[in-house]
Amino acid sequence: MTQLVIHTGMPMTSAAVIRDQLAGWREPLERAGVELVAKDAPKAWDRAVRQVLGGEVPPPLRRVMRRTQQGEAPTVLLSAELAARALGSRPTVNALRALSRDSGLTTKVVLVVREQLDLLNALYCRRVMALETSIGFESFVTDALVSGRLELDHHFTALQDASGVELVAVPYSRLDHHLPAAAVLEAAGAAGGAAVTGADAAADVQAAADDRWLPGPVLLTATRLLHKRLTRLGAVRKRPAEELGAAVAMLRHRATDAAWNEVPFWGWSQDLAATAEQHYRSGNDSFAARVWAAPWPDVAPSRPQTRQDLASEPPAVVSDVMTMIHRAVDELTAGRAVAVTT
Amino acid sequence: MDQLRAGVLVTRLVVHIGAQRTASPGFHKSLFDNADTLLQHGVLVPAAGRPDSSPRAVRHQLLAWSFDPDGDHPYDATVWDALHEEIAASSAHTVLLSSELFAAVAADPASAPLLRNRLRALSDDVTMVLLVRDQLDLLNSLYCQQVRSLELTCDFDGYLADSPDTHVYDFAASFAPWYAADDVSFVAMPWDPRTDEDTLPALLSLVGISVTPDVLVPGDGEGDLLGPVGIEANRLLGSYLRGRFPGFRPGEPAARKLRRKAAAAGQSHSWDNDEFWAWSPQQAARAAERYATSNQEFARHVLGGNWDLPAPVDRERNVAELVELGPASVNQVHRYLIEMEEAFERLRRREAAA
Repeated sequence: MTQLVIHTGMPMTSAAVIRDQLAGWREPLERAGVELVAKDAPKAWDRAVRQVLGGEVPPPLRRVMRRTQQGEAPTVLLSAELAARALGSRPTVNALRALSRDSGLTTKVVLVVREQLDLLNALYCRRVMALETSIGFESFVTDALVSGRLELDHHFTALQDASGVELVAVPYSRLDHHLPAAAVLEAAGAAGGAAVTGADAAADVQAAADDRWLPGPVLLTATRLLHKRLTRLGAVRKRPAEELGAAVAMLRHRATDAAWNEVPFWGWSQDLAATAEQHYRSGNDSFAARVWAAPWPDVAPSRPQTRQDLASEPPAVVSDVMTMIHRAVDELTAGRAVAVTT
Repeated sequence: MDQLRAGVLVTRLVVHIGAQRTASPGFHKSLFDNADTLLQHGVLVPAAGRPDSSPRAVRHQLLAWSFDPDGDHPYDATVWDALHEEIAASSAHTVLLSSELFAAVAADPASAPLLRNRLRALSDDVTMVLLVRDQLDLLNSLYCQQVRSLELTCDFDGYLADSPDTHVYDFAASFAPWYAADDVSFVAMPWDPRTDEDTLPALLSLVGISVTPDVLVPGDGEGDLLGPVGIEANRLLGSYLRGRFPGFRPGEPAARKLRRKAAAAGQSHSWDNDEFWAWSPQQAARAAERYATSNQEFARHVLGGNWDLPAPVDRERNVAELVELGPASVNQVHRYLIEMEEAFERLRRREAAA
């Protein structure tokens, strides 16, 4: 019987890094009987996962299934972050169950879960640094609490209830910082996992480190200010994404060069953290009890809130930040490319 | 000094010592506008001790600054001698000096005896006048003023932690040696920014100088306040200029001139339409409680009654942080910094050329 493994994860659980690492290990995995049916491009992985969740069998999966009929028992591995959101829907879960049953697949969903306070802090940083938002952290958190998407027990009720689809959850905190894909292979029960965990390519390690990187409060503030100025001047809509990205990269480069600050951003005040923790606690406990038959493994981090009060920074930082933003705004509004290095 | 100690120059000396942020700008302009009228009533408002930087206001700042030779301000070692000469040449029976900076000089145990000697050398009848204001209001206003004048860039909590103002304006602790002394008379007048009483006639009446109020040119109120966005913009401006121009001093001539441009720009952006208020209700309640006993003691000794200036403990905090402002305001503040930087560069060049 073909085993279908779908790796997915909550936001900010290194899903893209894991997928890239898996793609990089394609050959040793195949030798160990693990097939990656999608090509390396992220869109190909997403398309294959969409098809499966829509109840279709992608052609490459069909080919593998034919080999099963010839006596082999390969594992097919798919990976896409988008699956986590889709699997919050009961019709999608039912479609996956039907596909598994009708196609004779043993289906397993490997879901990487992350403690929400840590996750929201990282997600906020990513959205700000991508110039997707410039709202304050508190507003961002309030929106997230209202949306309910990170409430594990509630969001994945259908998946937990589904017979014929096994849910294996992996805490983000247990992923190897450098090789997070190894934990996914292990959770999938893929025999090839051990064969590749020795791979420790520098590129993998760097990508994993970048994925976990958090900006400091000054850089985050500078990026929010840049976004606000560009919004005011209409440049966020008018300029291409890569030019906007170059402006942010320039700020990041400068932050490193000039050592604006080294402390990673932590947006939670004590009160806000207590509210959010309370909000998520029972759902996490209930999810953990059902999936692991054990308590929720992670304690919400408790760190001092980092301020975003630029005016309280040293004069050299204030003038540097404002000069860099001004330069980027000038270049972008004049239709010129921003040089990343300064 | 021998000459100073030797004799009495004038029958009566009245010294308005502040406090700061008790309508002083309006009061000093009113003193300037009414100097001739006062002289006709025998009251000399000396020209000595007034810096050139504010020619249309009477502020005897040089007299106060003379007690701090190392400070970032003009200094004239001969200023008291010049005052002496001016008084000696006048036939006025009363001399009226005014500088809100005298309060800090009088409150400091090191400089207080020096000030006392200087004043007593001028007259045997010295009256110190202090306008008192509720400390919450006063410290909030002082913080605004020091941010606006580019002296401070810290936040309000940093100001409360580090500034001597919190001690200077503990009225009983600072001025008990003066009101307990028998060689100087110490009087006080409560001042509330919410009333629009003209300070000069009230002060003259308090110290018994008889001038009919209707012959005086009316003075202005406190004026020139900045709202939360303006305060944030000026904190940033202070930091920004320090970062862009190593060696920047808020007291340097170009910086002093820049303040006027900055104030005009702030008005054009309507940053004065709102009122900055730095205290959270909890913080205000704690501070009010801390000052209450001292204020009551001061009032009993100096005002002859109870302290009745209300402490605005219930007022909601009204501050701004740049990054939390809307895109239009962020853009406006950023442009303000760039414009002020350019203006400052021009002013510095002009100063250097001059």
